[in-house]
Amino acid sequence: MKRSLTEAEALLLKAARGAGVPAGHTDDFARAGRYLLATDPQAADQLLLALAGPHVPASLSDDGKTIAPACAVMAGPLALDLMICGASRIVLQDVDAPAVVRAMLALACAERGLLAQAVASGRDITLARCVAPAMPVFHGGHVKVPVAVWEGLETLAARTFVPATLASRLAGAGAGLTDND
Amino acid sequence: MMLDDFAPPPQVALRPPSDVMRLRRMGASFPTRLSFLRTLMRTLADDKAVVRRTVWAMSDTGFGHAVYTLSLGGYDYALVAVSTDLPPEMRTDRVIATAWDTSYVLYDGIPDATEIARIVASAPLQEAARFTERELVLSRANKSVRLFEHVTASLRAGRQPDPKMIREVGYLMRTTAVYGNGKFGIADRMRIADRPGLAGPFMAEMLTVWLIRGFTHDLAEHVGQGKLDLATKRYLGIGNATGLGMAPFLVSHPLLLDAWMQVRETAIARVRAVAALSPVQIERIYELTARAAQHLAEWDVSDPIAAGRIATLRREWPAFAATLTPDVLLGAQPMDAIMTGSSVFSIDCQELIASLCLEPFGDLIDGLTDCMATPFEPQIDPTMSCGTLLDMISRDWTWACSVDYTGPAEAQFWYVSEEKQEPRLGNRHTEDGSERESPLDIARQVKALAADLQGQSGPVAMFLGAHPQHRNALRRVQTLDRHPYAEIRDNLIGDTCLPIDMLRCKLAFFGAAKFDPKSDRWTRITLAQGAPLWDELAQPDDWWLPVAAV
Repeated sequence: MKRSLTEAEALLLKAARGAGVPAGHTDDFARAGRYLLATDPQAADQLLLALAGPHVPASLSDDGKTIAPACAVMAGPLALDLMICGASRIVLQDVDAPAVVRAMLALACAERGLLAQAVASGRDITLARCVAPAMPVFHGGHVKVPVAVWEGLETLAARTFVPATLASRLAGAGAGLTDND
Repeated sequence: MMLDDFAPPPQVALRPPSDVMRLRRMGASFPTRLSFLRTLMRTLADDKAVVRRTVWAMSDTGFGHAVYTLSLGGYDYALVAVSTDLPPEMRTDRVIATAWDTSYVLYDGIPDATEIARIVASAPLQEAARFTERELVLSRANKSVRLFEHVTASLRAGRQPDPKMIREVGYLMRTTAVYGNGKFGIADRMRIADRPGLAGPFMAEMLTVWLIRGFTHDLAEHVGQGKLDLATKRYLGIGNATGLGMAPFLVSHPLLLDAWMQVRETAIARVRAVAALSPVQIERIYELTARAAQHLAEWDVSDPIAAGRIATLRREWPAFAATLTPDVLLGAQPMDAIMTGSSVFSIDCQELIASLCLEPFGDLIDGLTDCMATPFEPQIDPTMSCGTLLDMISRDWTWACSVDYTGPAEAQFWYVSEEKQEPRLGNRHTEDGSERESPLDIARQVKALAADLQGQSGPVAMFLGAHPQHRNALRRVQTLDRHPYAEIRDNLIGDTCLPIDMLRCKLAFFGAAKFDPKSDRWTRITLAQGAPLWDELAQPDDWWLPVAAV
């Protein structure tokens, strides 16, 4: 089934919240996920990998050049922030979802003026400054998201939903009023 | 041509966000000439848009479908309207409804018979169906049963409907949702964001509402086998029932909120800088003041708080009108004098005065509406020092950091309902679910950020690495520094937070009037009341605060 990018991003945001990702990182992940679906849809399954966590503060080495292990959701934004601060190279070791990191990098290049590229080596990614980052082609139309990925995201998102109760129904919009006027 | 030719008009200082971005004042918003529906009407007029009804497949009792087409900015669009025989017990405005009197799609292009059949089958299902990128807007509306039946019965009897009923209700149907931007598989906004006429915020949705309004007129005349007189048709807008679904939007779109507010406040600032008024402008101000008085007289609601505010407005308005003396209007910077003098009145009166002050100055301010859309998203500046960030919080967030978030100050929590995946507001102390709270508690988040920033140094990038839980709050603080109207400066989880204030602010920007709150979390409104009919676009713009001519 084809999905609009907006509904995909909305679900990604809720799924990230349901997975326990801290607020703010949820937004960065959702936007990166949208970008990933529009540019590299074959890697959609990495969205679920990225949300598996753990979503704990990324572990930066004492010299500030390595993050290990690198959970994309937490390590990606930190690494890009450090690059924007002037770091010339950051190594992300044992990355769980490299496509998500690449999507975050592309957005940082497009929107925050970062000039950097990602070089993969096994499960590691090195972010390094460059002159002209290669930007993937952004397809603006609806995207096909594998059913398993979409359902996995919905399952995570459902952790944020609150079931209705009699009390909440009575307090909700339109409760108790007739609409046949 | 010299660069000086493009110097912006003079303006005074903008009203400060510390005043403007308080919920109580946002909840007193009135529509202005900068509202989206007003902008749409001017755009349609400039483009000489013509609406054509190309399909009318309705039974005598008004069930079936219709198609209307128009061209705008070089693109064709069509409204496909479906009218369904709805059992009364299924009629509800709540978002949990599963069937409606009418359903609609705004289609990108001119649909052929196959597309029309597909839409006729799927539109009545609304969220239960999937749509394509050719659908730009999805909507549904229920009849105001009492009025619809009265109007059609009157027409069948060869007479016009009772003017009192027309004035009391003001619409034949109420939309209960107008979905755009990718929901349920319809087109993402980016598909139309660069198109002339639809680039502004919610333009596709407003176009849909205006077309639906015309359809409701056609349907009533068809079922009633008669013609409504023009004054009645103009007065019949489209009702709308808006609940909490819309409320978080202002929080989750800070740059858009800032853009809307900056445009409106800049317009007010320009108008206040006007050195002197022409006789035509003075006459217009008197005319609009009288119209506003009549509008207030026709605005009746049942909610006691809203009724009280309207009563205050009705009492204050003559006193305000009395201030519009020749000395003031012929004096220097008369609009500034009016705005300054408005501070003696209630907040609601102040905002009505601000709205009136904009009305005569289309040439000066209408161009600002081009700045109401923004493609940007808030970004973090990781190079900022912790000290600078803390200074920003001290400067801009005292209203948030001075609150003790216990008891009443954290009485409410925002969440997403399992039933319909829609926003809800719960009582933290009496309802379950607060552990799944949505992060709309911006003020509380910023206070927590400020606490952990104490004694920190170096770039915020390192701080965020160690304290990732503050990423959202930090982005909000930095955003507010560059976009001073981006934040609602009130505690959105406190017991005094009234979501109706958030709804009213956004709806006023849409162009809604006749706010009729039914609780503190949902309201009925009227859109496009007094707006030009389809063949009246030659005079698109004189319908601020419409009054009944019936």
